[in-house]
Amino acid sequence: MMGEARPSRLRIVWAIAAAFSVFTLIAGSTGNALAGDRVERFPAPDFRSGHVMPTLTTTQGPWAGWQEIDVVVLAVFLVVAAWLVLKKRSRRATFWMTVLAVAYFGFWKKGCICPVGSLQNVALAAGGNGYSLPWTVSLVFLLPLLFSLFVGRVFCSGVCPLGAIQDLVLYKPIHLPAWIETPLGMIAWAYLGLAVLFAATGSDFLVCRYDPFVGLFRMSGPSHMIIFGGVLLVLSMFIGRVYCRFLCPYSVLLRMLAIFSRTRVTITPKACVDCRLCEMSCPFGAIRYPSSVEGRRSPEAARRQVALAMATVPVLMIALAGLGYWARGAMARIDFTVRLAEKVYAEEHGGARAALDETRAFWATGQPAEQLYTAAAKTQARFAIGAPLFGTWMGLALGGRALSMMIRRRRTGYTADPAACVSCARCYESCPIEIEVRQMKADPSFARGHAIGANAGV
Amino acid sequence: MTSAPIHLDLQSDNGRRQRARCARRIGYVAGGFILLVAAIMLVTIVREEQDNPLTAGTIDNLKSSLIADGTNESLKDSIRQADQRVREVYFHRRTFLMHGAWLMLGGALVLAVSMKLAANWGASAYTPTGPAPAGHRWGLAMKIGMAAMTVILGGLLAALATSSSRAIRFADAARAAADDGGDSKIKTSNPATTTVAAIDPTAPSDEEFARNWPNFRGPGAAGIAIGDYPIEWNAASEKNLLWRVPIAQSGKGSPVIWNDRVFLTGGTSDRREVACYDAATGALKWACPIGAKVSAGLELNEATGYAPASPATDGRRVFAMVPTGELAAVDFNGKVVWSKNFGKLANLYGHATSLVVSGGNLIVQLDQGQAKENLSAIMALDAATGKPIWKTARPVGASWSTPMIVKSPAGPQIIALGDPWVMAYDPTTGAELWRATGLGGEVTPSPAFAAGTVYAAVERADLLAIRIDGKGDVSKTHAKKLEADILPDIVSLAAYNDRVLLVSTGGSVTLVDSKLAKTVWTQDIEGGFNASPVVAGSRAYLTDLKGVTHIFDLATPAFKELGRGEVGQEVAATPAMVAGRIYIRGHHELFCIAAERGAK
Repeated sequence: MMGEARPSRLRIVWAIAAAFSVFTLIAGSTGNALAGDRVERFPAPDFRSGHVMPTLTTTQGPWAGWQEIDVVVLAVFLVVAAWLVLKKRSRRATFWMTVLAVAYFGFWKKGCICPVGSLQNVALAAGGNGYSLPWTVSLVFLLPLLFSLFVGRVFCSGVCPLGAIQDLVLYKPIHLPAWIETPLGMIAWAYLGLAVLFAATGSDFLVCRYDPFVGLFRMSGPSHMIIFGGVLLVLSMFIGRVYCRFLCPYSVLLRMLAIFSRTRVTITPKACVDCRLCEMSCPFGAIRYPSSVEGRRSPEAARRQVALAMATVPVLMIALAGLGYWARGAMARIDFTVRLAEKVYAEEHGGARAALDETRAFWATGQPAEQLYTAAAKTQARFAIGAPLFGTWMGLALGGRALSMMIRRRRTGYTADPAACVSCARCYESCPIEIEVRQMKADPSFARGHAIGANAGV
Repeated sequence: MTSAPIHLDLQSDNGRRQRARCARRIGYVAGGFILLVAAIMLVTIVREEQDNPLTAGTIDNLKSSLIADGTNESLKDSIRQADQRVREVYFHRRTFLMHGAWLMLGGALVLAVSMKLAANWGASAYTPTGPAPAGHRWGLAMKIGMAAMTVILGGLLAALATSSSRAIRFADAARAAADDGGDSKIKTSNPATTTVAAIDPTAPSDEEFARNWPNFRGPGAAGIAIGDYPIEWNAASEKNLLWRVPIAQSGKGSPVIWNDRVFLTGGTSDRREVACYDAATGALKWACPIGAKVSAGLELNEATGYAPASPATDGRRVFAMVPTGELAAVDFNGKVVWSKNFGKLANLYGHATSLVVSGGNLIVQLDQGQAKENLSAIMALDAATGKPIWKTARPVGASWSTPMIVKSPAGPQIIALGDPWVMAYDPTTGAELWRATGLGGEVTPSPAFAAGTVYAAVERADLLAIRIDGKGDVSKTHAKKLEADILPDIVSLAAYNDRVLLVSTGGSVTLVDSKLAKTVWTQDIEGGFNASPVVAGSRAYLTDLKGVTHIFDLATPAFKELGRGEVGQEVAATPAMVAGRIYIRGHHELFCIAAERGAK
């Protein structure tokens, strides 16, 4: 059967990849055209023809009560997802939760509320930018983290629309080796550091600006982001949840908290028979081998390695902090005020070829350039602190990640790594013990004729 | 929708395969549909792009033609039609793309669902593959992978660190701007630390400046023309009229001449510009916008307009400043070389002081607000780059007069008027040389200079005659007040030997002899004046608001009109007089008067 199916599937893969590529390109152009309506309005006629321009009106925002409702809906989704994954252990129900998450939080709510983006609100408030964090946003940020702390990453499985849409397009997953997956996963740590740095300095909401799927949910957005989202979706057909595993900054927080969760995904309800079927079924590389498979090193060699790593971590932190400090000027350019000040400065000092729209708008305010320079200097001063902190964070993350892999953990049987597992419940369906237990529950007579684990060789 | 099942029901295996095949075919159809919609959208976008008047430059070309021929109604209709078409194309494309996007999204949904079903129905069971390969996660490959990622991230930071060396330190820039004029509290620059512009050996010589009309009232802004000029002309009969051309934008600024080019400023609330005309034919060579398109809330009274100041040129670039606080240097091909913006200026009627050029530097007198607010300053900018050379605070409020450059035995001086001071500055360093009190109110008339004496006057104050060889406050040592029948309110002074000519807006003209300290004659002329007199030899050329230029002799003991020229429309700008030609800016036309053109 597989032998017949393979060539045909290959064709399908290519057909889908081509179709999605074209789709993303066209959708990019479409999005760009539609976004133009919002960002760069069509210019008014530059001659007088007697036409009376309509009065500008401001669209009313959504009803204020939606914020509270959104928080309640988020909590309900989290509770239901946790119940379906951990109690019901149902892949089918989890799949439909995924569909619902894309439909509601994605297409209906158009990507907002978003716990992933809310981490920037928290950073902005913590950075002392005069921003008061609404309690609803606090809860949007905290609820998935609390659930992760107690029951693992159920937010990723059936609530987050970004993860859900990638999960839905998963077609033929490729298993990435750990030596590729783990280093690539560090990008998310860097992204988190930058997102916090830019938000805390009041410069930019990087995560929202580069949200790859919000353009699809809104049927509008910058063309490069629509294309980026489309490329991620095509990749997600073969590499499960590319954004979640290698880019999502919020997943870093979820991972760190999920390690401490007491109730979490357990692949088999009884003793593991080491069949490795769960490992094959997991498209996200979240299954860890039993300790016996990982082999033993001599305690002395292990101690030497850990000691060396522990000595390296501070060096790495200091080195990257230094680089961060020297990079502060370039990093501060993410801030609009700094970029505008650079353009105004260039115009004032003969370095600009012609006046730009933004500098003209600035001059039209009547604000002296010195005020702008002072504001830019304040931002640069914040980056002088924040950029080395970012370097320190990256040194700690890289060193700590390496250290965590050196430490040998005792595992009996194949287990889901609580940090990497997105609680999708696929492994349940592949576990022969799980299936036996289900059959026994459904048919008690079945239990009488079978000892659990008897078909371990399946 | 579930993962691959472990226990397949063999009896239903064929059924699953058939369903998978069916789902795949649906997926193919959906994929084909997406590609078809995509192709149609692409073709439509490309065709509309080719037919778009906005991108094809049609409208720009039409607009350029309209600048040259501003009264062509059919041209205006063509622009309107093209503009209408641009809008129709835009909104058609928008609707079309929206429909296409929805169709493709629907197709993508069908494709995703069908392929997902095909994958599930066509999947085979997982089968055990034996024990996992032994080995620790922290193996050699992982070490290399993590090291590579560390190098990549470190490398990116290093690359950013490298580009950071070019970043501007705005803490320093803010301090510099405070000294440079951005701050409302302007400080006097230290002459010892002023920047010196690089000396360009190929820059036009003083003789070339003297042969041209580089700024308001000619070389040094003195109001003195060299050469012989016609004393009669008539635009209606074309007597001594070399050419006349319509002016693209209205304004009060005077023409500025450099060899074969005539420069004019003009503007409305929508656009300020400097335009260049051919001195030989009057043909418009180019018009370059100055500053932002919209004047953002700046409302000026009609008398001032949006281009009250004259441009200035150093023979390579033309400089123009408009009341929005925007200043631009434009090369002789109409391209902006550099620009500055001084922000919204605190000026009741709008900033109208003209720019002057001195020794390769552009002199900008920026008097604003009240004296106690410390907003006013005079500065020199490098004409080539716009870089500040020096800046000196001025203890005066807003004024509208233009500074002049005079030559003393000790070197050139900049004479700038304000309330209440007449002040002299060193053009090289900006250091104050001397000051004399005696002016007051709204200081608008520019000074005059002759025989080592500066003359300054303003209505409801005094006529001052100040010798320029003093230092410090020379109010009691080098300045004397002269009696005069009338004092000017707008029109600048003109001087001939010891005589100074004073003109009121209402039409009174008086000549005062400073040596004898008495009025030589007074004459009322109908029409009123905004334009300032220009002296050529002993003749004064004074153009009234009706466009009649009165030519009279300043050497005679009584008023004696030598001739009269008419352009037949309102004139508020001072004429430019170069090489036997007189360039007069009328309300809507520019005239060139020259004796070589005889009467028809």
